[in-house]
Amino acid sequence: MAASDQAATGEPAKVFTGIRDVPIYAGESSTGNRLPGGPYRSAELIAIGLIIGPALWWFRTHQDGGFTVLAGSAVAAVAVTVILRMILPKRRPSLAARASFAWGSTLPRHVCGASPRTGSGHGPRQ
Amino acid sequence: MARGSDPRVDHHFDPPVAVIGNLRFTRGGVYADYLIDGLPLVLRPLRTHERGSRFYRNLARALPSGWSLSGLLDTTDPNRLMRNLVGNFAHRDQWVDHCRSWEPTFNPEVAAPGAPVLLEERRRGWLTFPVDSGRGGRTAVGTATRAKDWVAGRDVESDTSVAAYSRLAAEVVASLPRQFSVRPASPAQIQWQHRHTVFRGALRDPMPAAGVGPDRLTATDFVRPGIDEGANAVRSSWWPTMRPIVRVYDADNPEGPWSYQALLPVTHFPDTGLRFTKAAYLHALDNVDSPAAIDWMQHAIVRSPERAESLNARAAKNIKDQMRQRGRMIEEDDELDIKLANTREYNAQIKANPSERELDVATLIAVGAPTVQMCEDAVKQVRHELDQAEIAVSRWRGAQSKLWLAFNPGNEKLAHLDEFRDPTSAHLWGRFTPLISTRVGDSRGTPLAENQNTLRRSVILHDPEGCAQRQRNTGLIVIGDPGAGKSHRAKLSGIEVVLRGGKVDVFDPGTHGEWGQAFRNVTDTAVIDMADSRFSLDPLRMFDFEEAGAVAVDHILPMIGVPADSDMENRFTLLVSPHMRHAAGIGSMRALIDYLRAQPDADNDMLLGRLQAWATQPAARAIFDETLPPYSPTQALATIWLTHRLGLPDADDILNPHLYDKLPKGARAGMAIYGLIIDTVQRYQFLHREQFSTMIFEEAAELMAYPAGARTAHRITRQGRKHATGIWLISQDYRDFAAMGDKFITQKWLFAIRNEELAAKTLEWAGVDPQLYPEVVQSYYEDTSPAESADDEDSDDDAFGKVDPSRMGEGFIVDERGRRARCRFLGAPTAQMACDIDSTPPQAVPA
Repeated sequence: MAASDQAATGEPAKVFTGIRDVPIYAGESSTGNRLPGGPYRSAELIAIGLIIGPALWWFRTHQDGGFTVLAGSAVAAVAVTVILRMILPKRRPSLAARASFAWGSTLPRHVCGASPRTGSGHGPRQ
Repeated sequence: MARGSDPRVDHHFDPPVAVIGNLRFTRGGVYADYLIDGLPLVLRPLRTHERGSRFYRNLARALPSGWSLSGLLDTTDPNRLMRNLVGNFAHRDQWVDHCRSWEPTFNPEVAAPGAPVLLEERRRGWLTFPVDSGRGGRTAVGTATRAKDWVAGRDVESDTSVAAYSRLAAEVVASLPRQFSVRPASPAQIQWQHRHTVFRGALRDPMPAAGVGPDRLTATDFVRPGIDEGANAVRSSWWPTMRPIVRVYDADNPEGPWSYQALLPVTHFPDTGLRFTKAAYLHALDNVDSPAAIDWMQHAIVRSPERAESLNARAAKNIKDQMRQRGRMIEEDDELDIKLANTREYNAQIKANPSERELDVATLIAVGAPTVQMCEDAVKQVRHELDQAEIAVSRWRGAQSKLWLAFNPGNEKLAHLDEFRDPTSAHLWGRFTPLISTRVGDSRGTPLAENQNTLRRSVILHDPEGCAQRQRNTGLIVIGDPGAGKSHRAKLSGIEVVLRGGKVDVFDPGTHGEWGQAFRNVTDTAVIDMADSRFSLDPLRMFDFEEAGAVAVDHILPMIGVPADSDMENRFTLLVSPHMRHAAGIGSMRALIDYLRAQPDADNDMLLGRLQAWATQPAARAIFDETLPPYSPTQALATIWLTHRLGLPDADDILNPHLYDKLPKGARAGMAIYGLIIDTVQRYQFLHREQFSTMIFEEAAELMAYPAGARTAHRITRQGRKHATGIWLISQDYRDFAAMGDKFITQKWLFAIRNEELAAKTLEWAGVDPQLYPEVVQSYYEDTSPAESADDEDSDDDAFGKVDPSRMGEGFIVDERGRRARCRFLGAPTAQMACDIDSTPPQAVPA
């Protein structure tokens, strides 16, 4: 049963999908100063910080091999950023929900409601 | 979880702690449950859809935040259906026996093995809302209220608390539109709902009737669900199945039955919205051709316009900021532009009316089946059906058990519904008209047709006797091509009226006496050939003194060819007036002739000349022969009046004055006798209000063309209700009834019509807008009881060109309340009865 295209069908039914579902990117450190390689998602910035931060500490505290570690961490930061850009969802469900789903899929749950009569914590009531 | 492992207790899957009345007490809160009816919007005009959507809007605005509306597929109890068939006629043995012959049609337990059974399924509306958070429901204030109660140690099941919850629930329901017939669910019905959710598609217990069962239940009365994500506990491999399905069963009876369920959140709607009739996409789920059970639910967070505007402002600010932050990235993608435009449009919507509410709605479709394969097949069909409206669902592995919690009030917060919510205004949500009633017909009566509004079939019952009691119009029009089955079904319904003790007068113009044959095994049947002149139909003898003159004017003057409003007509009217007849002692048509003959200058009296000439006609003997006994209605319950020997003119002859003047006297006399009998029967039926009676006119076009007949038909349609009298008019063209004034006749049975133009106009006449439902019109003339046309070597030559028995009697129905359905009218329940009412000519037997 579909209305003809010519027939008056009134105002459409509508939902406003995703209008409040805006992934946050950071592209500027301050107005007009764009971050190189940006924009970045929060998770990307955190990952970069977690990699580069210790590497910088190492660079400052170790004289030998500091440049190697710094270069390695830069490569790792780029690699992780690329990977995160591929896996971070651009729309709902959120990353946390997706992780929960993935967890539920690889380690599936087998649960049941509690038995009001036995009070047993596990297994079917005997 | 390893395969074969025992389930671990998770309190989120606990059944309700208690149910008191329609209050459901859970670990997550207290809820009130209600049954809610859908609105009858099937095949209705746009203005009815508009009105219905406003009722849904008002419903959504009045409910507290955290409400959920579900559409659950219920199966009708065949025993209950049987009781409804028998109705108030259990004392009539013949009727009860006849009802038993219907039982195999809808009850698989008594049907012959392999025989098709019409398993009735109904979509039940189920409304749940929280009552422990105040009038606003699950809002910040509501959360504070619950926290306060928790701190104070409130006993939620105390009499005081229960009374307070009940008051709040009643207050909410009182503000809902009455059109939804919102009524409290009984504890047994809440138990059914929980059980249905566990065994969805695997068990099909009918929902208990209201008032059945205890008034309170505890957790021990409920099924304790076992939830097996991906059916991994019964998998055959070592690896997780990764299947997006959940196996649900009774944890106390793990051997079965098992329900395999797929939970499908709706994740995509077209940006431009959905127009009627595609907007009712949840109704379209009933067109999935699968034995699996397909349910749906919508869970809504309600927000005030101010709160919604605040959220929109924040979202718009974010979007604008992101336009700057993303830089050149947005050049490749217009996502943010669209979102900003949508946010502004939505903001305008929500600000338009202070009483508007934001609904943040999550829609979940649940498919349940006893096997994985059946479930998978149904999911594919659901996707296909929704795709036609450009709606998409997602199916997440590992999420199924949590999504199942959406159907378990008190734990819906853990169902990840927030990930699938879409905001809209109550106004725009209402236009989805989520719950639509397909129910047509009466609650009692004879099985008339199979409701084909959706693929979830149901039986349409017809209760002509109750129609008058319900203050509805008792008239019925049956339309269809020759051979489409209209007489077949009318005969069956007529026989059923007699079996229930009603009276039927059938006017059969056929030459084969098919109605007499149809009633041959019905006791109390009389067949009368109207041309036999066995009794007098002299109006001045038969009718009450006061009204006899008017009847004579109606029928005698057209017969003898006296023009309306002529001197002769005025004179005749004066002569047969009660005063004149009393004064002159005129008691019959013969006495009238004698009186005129005795007047001076009688030889030049044109009226006398005409009456004398007609009195010599054999065809008019019943009117002028005083020696015949006056007609007295028979005591038979069924009277078949055979009219073919009256030589009745056809409708064109009657309507065209030039043709009417040329009609032979026999035809005009036949018309007068026909009209007089109809008037007589109608008066008799009106006098006996204690007994339902109906007049059935086969090929009613001639009756409608004859002004006196049309007047009688019109009188019955307007006043029959008060006199427990009905009229069933059978014809091939709805336009035949225009002269009568058919606007009061609501009930219409439409059988197959092959002519495209006539089919469209007939549907329009029945109230189906061809512009709004062009596909319905097309299916009416192309795919209603279609003939077999398989044209290959292997096809059955005997069947070619015939209608498949399973598709005989297809058409449309409009019931006494104006509800419409595409349907298949049911034939006789027994072979004997089918043989009796069949009018197909017998095959020639080779010598």
